[in-house]
Amino acid sequence: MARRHLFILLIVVLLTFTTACASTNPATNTPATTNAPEVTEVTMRLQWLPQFQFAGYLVAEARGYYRDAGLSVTILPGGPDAVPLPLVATGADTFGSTGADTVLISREQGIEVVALATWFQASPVAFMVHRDSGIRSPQDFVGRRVGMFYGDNVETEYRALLAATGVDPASVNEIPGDYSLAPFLERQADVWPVYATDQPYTARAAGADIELIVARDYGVELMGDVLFTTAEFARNNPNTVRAFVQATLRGWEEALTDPAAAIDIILARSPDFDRGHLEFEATETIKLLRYGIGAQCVGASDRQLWAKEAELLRSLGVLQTSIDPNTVLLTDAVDEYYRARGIECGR
Amino acid sequence: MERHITPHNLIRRIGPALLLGIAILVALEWGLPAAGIPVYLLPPPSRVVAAALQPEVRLAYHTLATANAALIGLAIGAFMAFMLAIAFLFLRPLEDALYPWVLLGQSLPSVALAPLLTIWLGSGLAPRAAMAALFASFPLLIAAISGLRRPAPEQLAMMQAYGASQWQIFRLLRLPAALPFIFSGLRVAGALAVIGALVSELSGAGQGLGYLITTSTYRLATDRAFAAVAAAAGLALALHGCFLWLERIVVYWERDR
Repeated sequence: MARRHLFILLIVVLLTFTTACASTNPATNTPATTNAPEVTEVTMRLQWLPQFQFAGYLVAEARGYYRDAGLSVTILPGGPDAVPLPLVATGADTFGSTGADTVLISREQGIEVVALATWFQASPVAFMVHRDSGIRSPQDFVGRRVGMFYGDNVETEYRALLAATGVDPASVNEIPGDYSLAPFLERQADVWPVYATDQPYTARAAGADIELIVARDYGVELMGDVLFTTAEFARNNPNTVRAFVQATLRGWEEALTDPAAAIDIILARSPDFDRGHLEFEATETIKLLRYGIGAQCVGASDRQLWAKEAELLRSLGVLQTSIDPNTVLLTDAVDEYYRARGIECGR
Repeated sequence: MERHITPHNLIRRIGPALLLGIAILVALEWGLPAAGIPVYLLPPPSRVVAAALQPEVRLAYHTLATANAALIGLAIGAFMAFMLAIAFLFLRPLEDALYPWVLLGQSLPSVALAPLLTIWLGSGLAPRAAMAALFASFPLLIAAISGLRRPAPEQLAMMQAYGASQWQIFRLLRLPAALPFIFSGLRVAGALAVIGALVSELSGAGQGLGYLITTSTYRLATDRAFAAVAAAAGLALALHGCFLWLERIVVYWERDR
């Protein structure tokens, strides 16, 4: 008898689990007017954790700007193994955040994606060294151990930096790394590529006295995070794209004018994050968003800068052909947003 | 009556392991700072406990998320493994055709599948549960196959001589013989399901112990990462204990061994 009861109990437990976890599928609304979004349920895949790097999306979500625009947006975190490009290209996610270089490279590989907004007008990548290492410029990399993330935009930037400064890559001892700073702090590496917006804070908090070497100072002009989707989705759903981009722009505008409020929103979502860390990230991120054309228009795309990046990638052999940036840029929504506010972005 | 587990017996059984564990923890607590090992490399146990108790870490919340994925995956994996084992038993050609592929599938690095599962199954619970099911099903399949084949030819011949149907042979002979094997398989599969769920959470999950490990490692909060690892171990151990307890009730005839 006892056994039978147990068996029934087991089945009940299992059934409760499965029904509790079955996903609900809300019906999508049909557009009422011509300007209404064609698709209302969309996902946004970040490249990394929901931190200040993505404040525009997070603020837009928390403040209801997506809802106001008729969208139901799910923001999904990225991670070492959750790369937005394949997720968006396959249609598993609607929108994604990635590097400008990825958009150009994927176009050459026949993956038709378009950049809808350029957030980081300058690259967030920096090369971190211990102050007492005596390394002050890329020329000092010779004979030193440099951490490398292969296949990443960090690698692209590193190759560009060496090429710009005439350092022979063979003279540098590259060691594969990952996102933990421990090998650098333990001095198993002399140079560690980082996101200047984020990891210097972690290193300093661990007691390291560090300096940053930035490729921009050596004439390497690369961009960073952009918002992208597939060319096909953008073609078929122009209203959804416009609604999403413009709501995100509203989010960024607020995050830039009131970073503290944006940090509150991020912390409410991820209470395990550190406020001091987010404040550092906000300060550094805003610099990159406000760089160049971003000083006037956050999110705008500088076509000359895109052309320069495409040319640089080609000279490095990352791209095999010349890619016209106009084929990967779809900036109507951003342009319209600023035009409506009487702001001239230029270029 | 449970006359085997008295408090005295229990102490005698787990006492040595407990003592060793405490000794190691004490040694680490004093030894790590004394040896100058930084907290971000190996935190002393007290730091890990403190991290586990910080409300903003939400260890219970993340543990529940992983437990949920692991249990659903285990249930699915167990069901599939058991069905496959029965199919193999009655359809030998099916086994001949499928078994090598099952073996091959097992030798693939399932970790590499994590990003693909997210693409195929979305971002919610489904890819986590699927990974847990993948991890859990193989040991169970092996256990169920060996268990169901356990009865000796004489026993089978005897049942057949008395005119027993295939179903009766299965229910009265093969299944009881297989149960101890299945429970051993479940104990292994439980721990593997936790690992599977955790591995899947390393790629693009917003919750779960795998997520906690990723974020903590990135921020050099090694104490939090260790708290998550300890929680995962606790989860695996709890599952192990559950199956041990269930086995004692279900396979009552093996209890005295």
